[in-house]
Amino acid sequence: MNAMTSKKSAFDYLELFRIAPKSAKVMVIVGGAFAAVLLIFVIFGPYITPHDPFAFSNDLLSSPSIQHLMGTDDLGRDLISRLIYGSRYSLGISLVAVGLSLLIGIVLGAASGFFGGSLDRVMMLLMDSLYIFPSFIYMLIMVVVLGPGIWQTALAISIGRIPYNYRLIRSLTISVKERGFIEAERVLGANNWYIIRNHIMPYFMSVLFVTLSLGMASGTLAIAGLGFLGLGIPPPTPEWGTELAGGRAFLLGGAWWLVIFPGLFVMVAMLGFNLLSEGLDTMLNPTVRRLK
Amino acid sequence: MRYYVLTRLLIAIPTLILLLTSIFFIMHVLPGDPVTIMYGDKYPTKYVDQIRHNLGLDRPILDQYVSYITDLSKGNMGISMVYQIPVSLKISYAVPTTVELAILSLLFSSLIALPLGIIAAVKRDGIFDHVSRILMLYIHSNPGFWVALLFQIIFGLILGWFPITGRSPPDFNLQHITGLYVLDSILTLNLTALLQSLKYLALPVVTIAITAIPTLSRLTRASMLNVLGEDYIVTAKAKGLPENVVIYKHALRNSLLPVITSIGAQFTMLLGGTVITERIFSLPGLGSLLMDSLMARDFPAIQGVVAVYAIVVVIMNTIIDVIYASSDPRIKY
Repeated sequence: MNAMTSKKSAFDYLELFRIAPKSAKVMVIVGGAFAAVLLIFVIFGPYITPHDPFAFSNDLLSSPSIQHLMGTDDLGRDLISRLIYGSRYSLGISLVAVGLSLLIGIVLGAASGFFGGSLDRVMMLLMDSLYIFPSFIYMLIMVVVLGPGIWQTALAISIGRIPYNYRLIRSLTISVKERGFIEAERVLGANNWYIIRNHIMPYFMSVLFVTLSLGMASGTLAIAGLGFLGLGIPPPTPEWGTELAGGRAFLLGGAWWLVIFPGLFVMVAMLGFNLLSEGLDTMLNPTVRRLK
Repeated sequence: MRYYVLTRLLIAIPTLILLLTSIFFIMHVLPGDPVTIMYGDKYPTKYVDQIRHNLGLDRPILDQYVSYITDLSKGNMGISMVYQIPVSLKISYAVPTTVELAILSLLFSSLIALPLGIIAAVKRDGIFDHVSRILMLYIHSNPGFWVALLFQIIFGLILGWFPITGRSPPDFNLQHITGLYVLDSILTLNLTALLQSLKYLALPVVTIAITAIPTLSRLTRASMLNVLGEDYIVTAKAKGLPENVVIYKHALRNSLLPVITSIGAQFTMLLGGTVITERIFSLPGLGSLLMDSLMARDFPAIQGVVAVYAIVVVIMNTIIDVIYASSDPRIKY
């Protein structure tokens, strides 16, 4: 219990990694490597693309070759450059959206679970009713109501994810609230804020890593889905889903690379984040480890 | 039990109203004026104001809200701006396609996921367990629209096994009763129509189901593992009951209870997946109607379709709750 109540240092995480089962180690390393490469794309994207992602050329719809590793699109733009550059949008927006939604979820969920009472009941009723509605449909509607754009898309996705985050954080709060050490702190005279900051938040951290990673996977999927339906980031911005939708028109003409590679980028990103969250879950969640 | 079902049905009504209310306010209170965003670039200000007036969007928000709910309760969803016919008529044509798609996907994914989860739990940490875990993680990482496109390319274009668009062939001959083609063809004992509609449904259904299989099988596995660790399983084994009886009679029934509760959430997710899938396979369902309305900025139609989605999920969740309550003898009401 001590490891949970005190703030975890970097050493503790290394220790948790060392004693984790082998499969979890592999998942964390592989997923982490994927995420690291994607992070490099997001940060250094414009500097490492082999060609200018927006430059037209006379190589229209050329299939993958040494010069254009993933071929070119109908305007002669180099596809791999566009996809690397596009990770800024696909993953960057996802990160903003997931972070924002998690933040709102933490505030609402922790308050609701911790204070209980009528606040909790009203919030729970509202969030439960929102939870049963498909979040992707919310996002679609909100993107249309808010208008196209990067921030609008991020806002739509983050609002769509709030019910999920709220429920997660609320149930976590309730489960931790009932623990003995919270009671002990209260008897010692600690106030609510002190308990939330020093006991509940550290306990959450391990869950937050997992949730963030899982959220990145579904956030990326949502952006790509919106882009695919033509409601996400409008062209010529090379967002992955938008690229895929644009490439679909040339599929019957045989330009398979315009569909396969954008989809592959989304898939690899999701696989990386899913692996990372699965591995982290096993590594950080003590109950899972005890079962092993 | 009868009392519980009755109360559960009564609770469904406030849940639905609450859901509709929150969707209404999300659409109206978010920063930004939908009418300006939707029509501002198409028409001069004078017409935009006229549109706003016709839609009643210049009235006070509470006033709009009250008339939205009262109109809806009478089944009145307004007139579609694009088609100039009642929205409810448009929707009544679209509902069967989506309901059929969602229910078949749910059945198909359960049919695949439950056995997978059960075997993985029984042979825990065996080769099957590990392979299925990795495979499920991989499948879970494939975006639905990408899977749909790959299926269209592989099974439609290259192999030519399945049609890639539409719901039925041009020479389709079926007496419409419910609008669910599979159900109708079974009711009228029309084998040709049944095979034809299944052929058309195959790719979309598998596409949607695939997104739900990893979650469901994982949940089944976890739930099964939980039950297998219970004392009564040990007792049953100690009594000398055969392994199969213990697993399929004692453990399976109890482990399915948490799975049933999660099917509601799965259904919600599947329904979200139908939007993109209907679009890709050109199926004339609610998802296609929603997308057409969104693209055409047909405000009454958008509101109507969303309300129907809300009604469908509330009904589905109510049904699942009732099934859950009636299958768990420990729950007494």
